[in-house]
Amino acid sequence: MTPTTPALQTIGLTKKFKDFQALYPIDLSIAPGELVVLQGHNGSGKTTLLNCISYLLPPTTGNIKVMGFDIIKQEKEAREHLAYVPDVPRFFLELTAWEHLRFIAAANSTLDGFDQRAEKLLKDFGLWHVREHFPHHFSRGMRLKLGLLLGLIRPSNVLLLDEPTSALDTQGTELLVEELQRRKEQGSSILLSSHSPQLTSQLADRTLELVEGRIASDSSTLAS
Amino acid sequence: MIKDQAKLAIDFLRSRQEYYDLRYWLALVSYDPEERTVSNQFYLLYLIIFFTIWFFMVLIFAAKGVLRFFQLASPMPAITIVSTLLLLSFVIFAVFVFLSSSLRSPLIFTEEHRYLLCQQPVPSRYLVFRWLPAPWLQSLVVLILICLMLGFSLGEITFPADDIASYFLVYVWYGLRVALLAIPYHFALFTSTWAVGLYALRHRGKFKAYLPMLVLVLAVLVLLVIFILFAFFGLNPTISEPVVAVLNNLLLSFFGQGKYSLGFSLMFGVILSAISLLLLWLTAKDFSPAKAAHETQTAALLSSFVKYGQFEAIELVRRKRRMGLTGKSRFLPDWQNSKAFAWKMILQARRTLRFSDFYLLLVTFLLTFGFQLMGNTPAGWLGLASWVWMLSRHLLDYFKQDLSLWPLTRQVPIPTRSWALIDLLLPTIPHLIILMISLCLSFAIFPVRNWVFLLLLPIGLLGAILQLGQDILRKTQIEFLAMGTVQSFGFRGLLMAILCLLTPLLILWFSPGFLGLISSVLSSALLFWISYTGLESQLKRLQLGQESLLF
Repeated sequence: MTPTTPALQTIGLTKKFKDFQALYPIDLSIAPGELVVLQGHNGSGKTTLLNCISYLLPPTTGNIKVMGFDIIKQEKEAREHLAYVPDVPRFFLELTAWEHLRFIAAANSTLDGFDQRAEKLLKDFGLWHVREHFPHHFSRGMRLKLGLLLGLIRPSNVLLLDEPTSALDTQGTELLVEELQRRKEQGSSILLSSHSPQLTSQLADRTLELVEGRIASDSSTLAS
Repeated sequence: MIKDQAKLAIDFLRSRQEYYDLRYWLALVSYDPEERTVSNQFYLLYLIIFFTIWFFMVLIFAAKGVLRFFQLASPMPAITIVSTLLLLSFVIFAVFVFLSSSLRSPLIFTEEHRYLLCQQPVPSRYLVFRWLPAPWLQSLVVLILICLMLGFSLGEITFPADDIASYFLVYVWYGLRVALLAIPYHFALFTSTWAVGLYALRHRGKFKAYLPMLVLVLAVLVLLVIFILFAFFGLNPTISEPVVAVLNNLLLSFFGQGKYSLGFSLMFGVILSAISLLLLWLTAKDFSPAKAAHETQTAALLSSFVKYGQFEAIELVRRKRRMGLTGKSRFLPDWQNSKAFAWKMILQARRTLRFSDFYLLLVTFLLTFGFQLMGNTPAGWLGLASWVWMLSRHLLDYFKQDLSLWPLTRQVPIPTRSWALIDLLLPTIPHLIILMISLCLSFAIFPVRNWVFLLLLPIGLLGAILQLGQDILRKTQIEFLAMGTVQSFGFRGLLMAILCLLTPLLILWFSPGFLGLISSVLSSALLFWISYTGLESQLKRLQLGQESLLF
């Protein structure tokens, strides 16, 4: 990867569900250490775009590159750099919060120093006391926090977050802002969808507005 | 005035529910009460006649079965046996209902009731009495069937077998009389269990909450014991004499014998019902619908799953309940990459281990042992086909769960094929081990040794599991997977899985010589390879978001 290579790039990405065109060709480029906020009304295609970029939903056409790796052709290499936190995280029925984190770390071959990382994250986000609880007993906010931690427990160069503050309390939102700020400074690129003006004003290097599956505007909050 | 409006609201809600419940059951026989045509009225008449005759025939058939039981206990008079069986039915019913209604509220409220009804200031007594009829009728049906069968059994003995047609109406009356008399007694018992249940609900958490239940359960059990001692062993201590006399005559009156007439026994049952209703009226005064809803939410959910045949959802609720709130992480090996899936699966298996898992291993042992004993015959194939069907319902659970968590499992930098194979093949290993042990044991015990089974059965089973996995993927669409929805395998998948196991055995059966042996082994390997490549291609199709080309 050359210094000019974007951390995340989509070229002509489209998604069609039968006769419904959910995404029109989207060309997007995010530089290393850049945080981009994706905005748009309900049903504008934010979640579909994030699902396609993370390749959970295969795009109808187009290419996606993560740290220069084509996610379709070099999936393993691309996935090593990419983490995605969906808006409604789902969990294994039989695994505790701690075991979920350990499973994700182990599956990503990043068990070195896991205990310290997991302890810090769980304590920071107020889930340490319920680490041995099964997540199906958690409240909506706690589930969302654990979902976030699954994305944060392993190192990633590109982080995708779908409405991460939708069910978080004020303290949780502040912690998330701090964590994202820290990751940004370390060079991680972040693409998140959000309706929160606070999050946008505090963090965004750039905002993208999605309207009916098209990027309607692309602005830089820093420049303004 | 406000109270009357509340009563009307309860009445409206409950009657709508009862009507829709009834419609659901009638829909199973394709009858729609909303359709007001003449042909539909005739269809209803036809249904009533058909099911009356059908039930009658089934009950007579069952009565003949009970008759055999009488013949086994030939020294005992038939009337003693039917009386005891009737009492036993009542006692089992009473113990079950007393326990269940005391451990949680007898009034079952759904999640919707909890928010829409139970938070309103509704008159509690009216609510209890309006809720009573439907569960009582549902519970009555089973007992009525037992009563009819017992009555017919006695009729079978009383009337000469060749001449029953001449006594047909009297024969029918034998069954109907027992059923008719059972109604008030059942009502009294059912209502008193509700009274006891409401009392327990009010005092939940204290010992006295369960005291009436314990006393009554003990009382009915003592009644059963003293009656059996009297009827079968002739023991009747002075202290229990009056109770036994009443009980015996009451039970005999159900079958037209003893000192009590039908009218007297019926009146006795009505008086008991009135007393039970009074008890319920007293306990219903302080009934808290919100408290009841809190306790019965899961029960309501389970009963709705049962009604609509959602057995996987039932299993999920039960599994959550069994696992409790927390789990200790004791097994933490440094297994990374795709081995993480194996670690996860071991953890999941340990947390959900239950008796049925061992039962399935026993089924594997017995079926493969039996197959070796029976040899490669159609009867043996039937056993193996049912074995695949039984295993398929359990061995694919991990694969389905990992697919349903697609946003989590798809994200890890491990090829989907790797974890799919772990999910499908790892749970099969204990069955393969048991299969080998079973075959080796049968070789050691019996002189007939089909060594080729050691190869054909394990490969066939692995191929079958891969086929079922492939069928799940075939029926799955990526858009639904992203939302966590996974289909189960279909009939085609099950059929292909059974063929994977049976085709080599069929080849061996048609051509038992050396050529057949080689062909069966080769076909087994070929079918395994086809299953594996099929699974792989379905995974690729899924990842690329293409439609399945298979039918």
